[in-house]
Amino acid sequence: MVEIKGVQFNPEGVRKMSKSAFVKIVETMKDSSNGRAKWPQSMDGEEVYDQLRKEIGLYKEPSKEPYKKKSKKDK
Amino acid sequence: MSTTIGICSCDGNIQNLGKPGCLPELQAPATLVFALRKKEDGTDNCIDPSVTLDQAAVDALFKNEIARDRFLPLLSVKGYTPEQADPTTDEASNGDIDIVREGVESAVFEFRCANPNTLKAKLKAMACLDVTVFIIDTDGNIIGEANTAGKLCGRRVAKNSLNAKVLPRSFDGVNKIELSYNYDLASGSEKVDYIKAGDFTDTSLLDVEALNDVNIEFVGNPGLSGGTFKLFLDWGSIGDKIPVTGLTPTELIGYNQDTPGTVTLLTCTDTVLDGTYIYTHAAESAGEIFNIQGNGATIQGVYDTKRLASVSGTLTA
Repeated sequence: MVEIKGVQFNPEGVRKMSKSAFVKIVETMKDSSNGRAKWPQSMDGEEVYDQLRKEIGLYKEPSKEPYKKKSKKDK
Repeated sequence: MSTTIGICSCDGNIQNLGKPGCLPELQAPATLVFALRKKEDGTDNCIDPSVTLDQAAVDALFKNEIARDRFLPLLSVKGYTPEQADPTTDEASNGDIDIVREGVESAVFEFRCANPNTLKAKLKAMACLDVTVFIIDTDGNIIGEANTAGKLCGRRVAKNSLNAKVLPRSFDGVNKIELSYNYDLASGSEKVDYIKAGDFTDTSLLDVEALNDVNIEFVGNPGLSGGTFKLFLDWGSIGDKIPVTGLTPTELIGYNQDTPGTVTLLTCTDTVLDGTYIYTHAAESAGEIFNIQGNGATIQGVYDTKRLASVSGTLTA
């Protein structure tokens, strides 16, 4: 279990979920009309998703180098 | 041809009656253990003393995933009255008396229980089944009867003899239940045997826990990517059953019955510990049937979550 801002996440659930699906859930839970379920407003879906992926060793830093197509010469 | 009639030896090879002074004495019951006589695979539901009786072996008996094979402990015996009726005899005209049949052996146990009515319902459900009983004594020895394969089986309870009598709280007594049954005539006390407490490795049968049945109720229809459900025991008042709190998303899992497959829960929180869980998962399709169940195994700690899978909801956007 990985806890972020008081919410316990199941690493297996994070592993099986796309970023967009995760962000959508976070937004729904932040807006939940059921007060008990509300997640902190400061919870940013994309940020938390990346943080969780880091915790379970799946996160890859985006490359800072601009994408360069390999030329025939490089090959 | 057999040399015995009943248990009487006819070949004159009688047994000596000496007994060692160091024989440990079995004690009064601490826990009563019920088990179906046959396992799901048709074999006898017994304890094999030739294997290492460690915690894993004890869990395989008391927390077995297969409900039919599971040993069911009823803890904290408060009273025990063993009885044996006089034998049935046939008196001839000349005055000779022959014993025709041994008297029925029975046992009466007393348990304290805040709600003995719920316990009665559970006990009575066993009355018509082919059940056996073991007794764990106050020293942690387990008492049953030996079978021909050298295993310790429970003593057989005569079918339909098990009775549970509720004794409600009065001005001079607490709520309790009186459980009685007869032993099957084929399960005579001369067959009684036991496994001593010292044969269990790093564990004691005095520490076994009884499992609880867990029920589920969805609060509204389950949503496409989450919803709310309540987990509760059979115990409590009609509108306020005792909640099951503190289970985690790794102990529970969703299941889509229409597109058969498990649905991993992302979160599942019982924020105020009242048995109401809010859960989330990757989105499923509307209109499909969804349920929650134990993850991998139905035994989670002292909870049996098998009943969860039997209650489903329709996924609704």
